[in-house]
Amino acid sequence: MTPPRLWRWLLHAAAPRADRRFVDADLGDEFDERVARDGAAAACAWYARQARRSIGPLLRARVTRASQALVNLPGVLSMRDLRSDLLFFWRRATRRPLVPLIVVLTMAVGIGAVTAVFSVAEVVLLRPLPLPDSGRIVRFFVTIRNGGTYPSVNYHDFLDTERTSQTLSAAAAFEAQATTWRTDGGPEPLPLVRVGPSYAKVLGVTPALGRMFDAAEFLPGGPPVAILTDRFWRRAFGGDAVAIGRSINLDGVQTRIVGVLPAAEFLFPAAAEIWVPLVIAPDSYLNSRNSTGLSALARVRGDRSVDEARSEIATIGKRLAQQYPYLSGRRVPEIRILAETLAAPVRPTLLLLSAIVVAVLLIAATNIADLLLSDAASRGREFAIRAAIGGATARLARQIVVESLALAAVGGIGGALLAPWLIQALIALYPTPLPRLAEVGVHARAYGVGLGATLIAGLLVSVPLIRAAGRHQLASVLRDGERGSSRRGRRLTSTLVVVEVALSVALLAAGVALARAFATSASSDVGFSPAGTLTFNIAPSDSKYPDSAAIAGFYSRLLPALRQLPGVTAVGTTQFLPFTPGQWGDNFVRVGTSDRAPDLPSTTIQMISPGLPEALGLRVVSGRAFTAADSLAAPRVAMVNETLARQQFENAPLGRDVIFQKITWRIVGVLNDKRHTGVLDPPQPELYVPWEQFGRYTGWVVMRTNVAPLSALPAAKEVLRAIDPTVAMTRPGTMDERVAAVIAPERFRATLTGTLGATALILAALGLYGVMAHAVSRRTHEIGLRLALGETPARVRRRVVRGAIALSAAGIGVGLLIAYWTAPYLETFLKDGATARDAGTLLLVSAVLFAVSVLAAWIPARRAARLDPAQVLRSLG
Amino acid sequence: MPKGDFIGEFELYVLLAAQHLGDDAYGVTIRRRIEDRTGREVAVGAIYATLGRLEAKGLVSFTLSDPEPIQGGRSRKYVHLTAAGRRALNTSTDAMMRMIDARPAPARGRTR
Repeated sequence: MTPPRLWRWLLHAAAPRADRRFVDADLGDEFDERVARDGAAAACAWYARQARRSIGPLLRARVTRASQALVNLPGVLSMRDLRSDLLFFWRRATRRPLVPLIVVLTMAVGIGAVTAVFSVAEVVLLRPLPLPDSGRIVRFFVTIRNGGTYPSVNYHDFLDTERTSQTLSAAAAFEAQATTWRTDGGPEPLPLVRVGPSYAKVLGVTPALGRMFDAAEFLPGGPPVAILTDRFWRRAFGGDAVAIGRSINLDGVQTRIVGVLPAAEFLFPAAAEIWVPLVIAPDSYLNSRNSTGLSALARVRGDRSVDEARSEIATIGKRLAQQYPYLSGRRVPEIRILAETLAAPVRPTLLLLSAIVVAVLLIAATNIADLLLSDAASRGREFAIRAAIGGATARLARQIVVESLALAAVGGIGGALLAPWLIQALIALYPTPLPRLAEVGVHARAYGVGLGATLIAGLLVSVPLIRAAGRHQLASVLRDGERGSSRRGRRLTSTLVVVEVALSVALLAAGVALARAFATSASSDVGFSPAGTLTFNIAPSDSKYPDSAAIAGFYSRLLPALRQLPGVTAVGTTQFLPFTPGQWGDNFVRVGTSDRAPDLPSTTIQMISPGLPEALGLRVVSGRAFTAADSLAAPRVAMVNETLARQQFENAPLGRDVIFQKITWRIVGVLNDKRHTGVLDPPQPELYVPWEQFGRYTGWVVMRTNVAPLSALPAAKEVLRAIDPTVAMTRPGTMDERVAAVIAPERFRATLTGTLGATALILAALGLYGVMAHAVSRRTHEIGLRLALGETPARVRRRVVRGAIALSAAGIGVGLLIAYWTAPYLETFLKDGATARDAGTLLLVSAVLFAVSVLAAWIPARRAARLDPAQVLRSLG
Repeated sequence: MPKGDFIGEFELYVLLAAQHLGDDAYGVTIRRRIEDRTGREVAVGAIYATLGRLEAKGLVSFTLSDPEPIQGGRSRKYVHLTAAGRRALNTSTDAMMRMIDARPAPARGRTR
């Protein structure tokens, strides 16, 4: 007969831990007596009554005791004792420095990494742009039918929008470009932005010196003027106010400086060194309803919301479509908040990075807790003796909290010192340029996060220790040495090992998925041969080469001279280089079909020189390539790529005529498809025209070499200087480098995740080894007995390994759940709808973890199996 | 005895029972003693809650016995009165006696 189970359980729950078994024993004894004397029913009734009336007093006693502990807290927190606690800790730490040292270093790295990533993510993803009311600054985008979405506008659409909008307080078109700054030291490329009249108002800035542009300066033929950024002003004029009214030579044009912008952490576009007025000449290709070559910003009025502005822009777009029916449906305008457009490209990778840093911190914390726990186990005697000579539990707990916080504090200081370096490392390793880097730095808020992480880490680490210390009952520890009372401690270390295994499964699965993505990208056939190709950009000035004949003359001297260089086998030019920002597209009409506006096919358009296919390694599939004979005087000719031939010409494009930019071009050849925007992006339709016939000449020179490409660079520079010393060579690099750069984010993600996954794997293996080794040494006697009683060594070995497998199986299970659950986030980074829930990957990772666990358990298992029973039993006596 | 603390009625019962039982004072015996003497059923929880309070006041201390040498034998928590506990018990019972007899308190009692 046993007492009513429910009442027994309730009593158990209500009683203070120290009294539980006595309450239980007392009642149990008398219950048995009563069953014998009065019968079961009466005994049960009595037990229930006892329990019911006991719960109240027991709970009240616990509450009273807890509140007394709070009353005693001031004493616990007294400064004098704090000093002695710290001294005690210092003596212990200096006597046996290894564990504290490892803990502090681990914490420093963890806290430093969190601080660093937060510093960058906070600026890039969270902080508003450092411009007045920057949440109201929006950028115009346009979606082109059969095209895509671009951050640009049509100039006339923009003017109409600016005139009629009720929600925008200011709007300004702009065009980010580069010019050549001619100094006494030679030409220097200079990024600039051509801005519309209200540009400064949109950004909310006013010149620190001088003035903004006036109306006359925006008219065609107006005086050439410029406003300098603070950065450029300091570089070019040493920050001297005499700059106002002086002139600088921009691409051969003496340009008067009328103002200097304020020193700001951020201006848009960030790269621009100077501002010049945006002048749209009547005959400019921008001055038509067709092109969308301009960019534009606007500021939403203070009393309107961005959403209101957004719907108004959509309405204006529809109205323009009605007004100009041939445009109808060809393009749809929209606005997006500028800050968000800047963060958008880096957001996913930065979020992945944040998740990984959190994982690092978790692993670090797990390791520290693990380390301190095993350290605490060896401190059992110290705790027990302190308790025995009257050390209150609160004092003991305090000592532990002080020690943990001291460790965390030292780690936190280390982290704070590391953070600036880690930020630099992050920026250096980050595969693409990060926006707003000027603002990135370790600042108060990041240190706040670091401090928070430090405190939390310190307190978290002390909790298991206090629980461990509370267990060290004097009697059992002093009697049994350190074998007795650590079941909960074992459970805790086992849990930590499970966490580590789970984290390594999840990280490794992610790492493998990302590595596969990278491998697919790296082995992708891009359609041309990047190896052995040198490229650089040049922009001969319009003022020096005012007409097509002049510029054609320049190139007819430059290209053959480059071709003559040793090791060079082919030279060509193109306006848009693969895997390099910039491309242009337009609609066109197929002559002899029913193509009518607005429903026209579209294509990207490339202006190339005759040598380009050979220089870049493109193949002529059919027809012919351009030759020197396809000059300005000759009939207009074009080539298409295979995709365009298939999409619009039923694979028979040769001899067909197309019209775009009001000119008719005859298709004479087909080039093979190449990838232009990304190594796995499907080839776009491409229409090639000879750039001499098209008449635009800024762009890329491509040189194919049979030597190391960069070794030809100095000679190429020399050739350029000999032909025209005013032309600056910019952005030199090999095609291999450009391909590497375009897949760098994938390499970065795969390397980072894979490295951390491997680290987690090693830590998990060490953790498993530790737990199993500890279990074996604790159970030496038991194992010795088993061996003495005839159990085979193989069975002993199996038993130990089985223990490790149980732990790692639990970890693998949890890890697979994490991997499954996080897969959708990961798939952002995978191409072509590849899944991160790939069974093969998960199976592989599980198998690796399983193998590693068995391996980690093998050494302790072998030690157990080799125990000499006789020796073990002797040591027992 | 901590200053200003009166001993409650039930605390007094527990102390008296422990004093009477001597080396055999633990949960069961204390409870039975009180039940026998007062004729009221006493909850075991009340005994342990009170013992906890008395320990916090420094009036009693505990020793844990080794388990009884029989199958399923339990260990017991024996209660001892501390010196302060004996003093407090004397003070309280003296005071109570005087209250009942209406005798005046000795001079030192008033200054405390």
